[in-house]
Amino acid sequence: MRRCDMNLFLFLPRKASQWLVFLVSIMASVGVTFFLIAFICSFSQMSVMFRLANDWHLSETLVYSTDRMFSLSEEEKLAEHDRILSTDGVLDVDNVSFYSFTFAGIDEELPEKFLNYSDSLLKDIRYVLVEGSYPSKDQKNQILLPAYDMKYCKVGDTLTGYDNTSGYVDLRTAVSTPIKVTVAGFFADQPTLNPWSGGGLIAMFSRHTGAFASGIEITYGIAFNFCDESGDVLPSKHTDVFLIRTNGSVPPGQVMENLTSVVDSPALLDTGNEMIEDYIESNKEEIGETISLGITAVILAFSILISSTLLELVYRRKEMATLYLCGAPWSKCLWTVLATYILPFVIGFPIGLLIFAKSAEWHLFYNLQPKLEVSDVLVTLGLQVLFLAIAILPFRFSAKFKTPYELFRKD
Amino acid sequence: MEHIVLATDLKKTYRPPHQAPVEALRGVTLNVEAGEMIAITGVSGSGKSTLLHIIGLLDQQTAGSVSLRDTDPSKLSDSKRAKLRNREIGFVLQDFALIPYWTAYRNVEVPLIFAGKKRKERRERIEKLLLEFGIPELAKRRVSQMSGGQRQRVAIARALANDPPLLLADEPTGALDSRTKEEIMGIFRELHGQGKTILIVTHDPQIAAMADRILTIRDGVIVDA
Repeated sequence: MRRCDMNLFLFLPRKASQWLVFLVSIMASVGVTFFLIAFICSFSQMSVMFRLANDWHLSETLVYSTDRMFSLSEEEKLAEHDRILSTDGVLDVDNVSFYSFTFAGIDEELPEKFLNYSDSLLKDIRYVLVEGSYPSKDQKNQILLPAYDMKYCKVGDTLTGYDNTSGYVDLRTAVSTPIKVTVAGFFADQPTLNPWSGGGLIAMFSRHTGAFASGIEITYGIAFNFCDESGDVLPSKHTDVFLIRTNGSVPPGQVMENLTSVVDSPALLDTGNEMIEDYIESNKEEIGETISLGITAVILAFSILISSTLLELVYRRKEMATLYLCGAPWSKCLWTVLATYILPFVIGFPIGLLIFAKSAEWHLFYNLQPKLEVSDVLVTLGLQVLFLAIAILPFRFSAKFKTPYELFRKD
Repeated sequence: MEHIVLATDLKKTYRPPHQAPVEALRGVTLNVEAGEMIAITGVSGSGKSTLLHIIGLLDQQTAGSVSLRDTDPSKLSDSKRAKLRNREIGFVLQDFALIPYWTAYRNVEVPLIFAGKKRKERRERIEKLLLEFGIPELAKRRVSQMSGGQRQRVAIARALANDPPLLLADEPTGALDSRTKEEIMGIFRELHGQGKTILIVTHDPQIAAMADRILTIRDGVIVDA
């Protein structure tokens, strides 16, 4: 251990020019770390929508909303549901429904809205939970709440709610029968690059925003098996949005053609792929920013981190040979010199992360919401190590062909 | 007498990329006994430095065998060869092979660090060596601020840091003026007197004359011993 420590400090900067190089190396490491973590964070935020779309099998799904100006009755919605279901190529169809509840103790002024996961194709989607777990199929009256409600209650709490699905309930005048629900967990905020875009799934359904705005904003909460005291299922309110899953025997485009003659508002019938394309189109800026951050990180890594490490190794080859002469194996010579590069990296990496975390307050980015996630930090660290390896490997490879002793050859 | 180095039918062929192979050694046999001082002479490119580097475990032969105090280095890993080099061999080279921005103290300390010596032990040894070679005042001076003679004294002090039985010198006075050369020659004479085994590669007949034996290498073979 002692020898190892000594080796590390053998090549610490000892003159002004070396200190300058050392400081530049720290700055390079800070810069590369900052842009890398920004790129990875931006990429993971941008790709949330695509991961959700994948969870939802959106490429095999169609979304249809009835004309929002033409409000259908519950019976009409169910009749349209049956017509869609009997169309060739349709596997399943769900008219997304929700409950509206007011809970004493959470926020008495705001009715909470809950997507009904029990009868919806939405149930395939599994949001990341920050606490708790998804309830089992048999558990009744379970809810998942958005993480910001953690200040009001905790996992396992039983809350008393007043059904407001059919109209607004003022707690002071509430007359509906209360039901008790259990908090099963809290799901993480659904990050999107633009916090004002609506968040979560809604961003993917820009064509159906009106329908969604009528009551199924995902960030409101998720309901599982809502029943009254006698065990009867509580009726949920259907929205104008239908999720239609194809059975794979007919391409989604063909299913869409088949449905055109079945639905009331064919103009509001879309394939999942169209909505993904819409999303990409309407989020070009975010995608552009992500690509720019990635390119900047790679350029910085190659122009400063990799090139300077490689040059330093070549420049210090004779010093390594001197260590070799004094009784160090070749690999130890290499690592002794590299220690001077690892040290700025060790210093620069956390500083880069810190600046990135702080950049949320400084509004450095146009779209990105800087947020440090453990997984993003680990990926950044892995990429940094990869960049260092890229710098070291060619040198290590060439060392096999030119032994250090050749540096001392004169004839 | 104890054999320090026993080299048998050493051959070394370099294969530079896109060029014809070069046979630097074509069957050299050499027996160096403890306490001997041997001068190896020959024209440039004759293979004398190659021989020195193979004996010094800096390079490996293409064919033949070499043993160092009855140890066959070709059977050792790079790490064990490095340990053997650290313990048994000291190098003095024409260009000193010192790290210029380090002090004399730090340069002499390197082999002791790799030998795992403790700080106190290292300090005592370095102070003794610098005093022995008349340069105690240079301990904290950077090598880049020293004269050629001072640098070579530091290099010799470093070569002797772990008190190795074998000292290999490649043109140790090649970069020095005549007065300094005399001083360095004096040091080698003294070391020889103390019983060190010394192999010196040199063009200089004056240096060669100090040796117990003179070997002349031509085209990779010993032609005169």
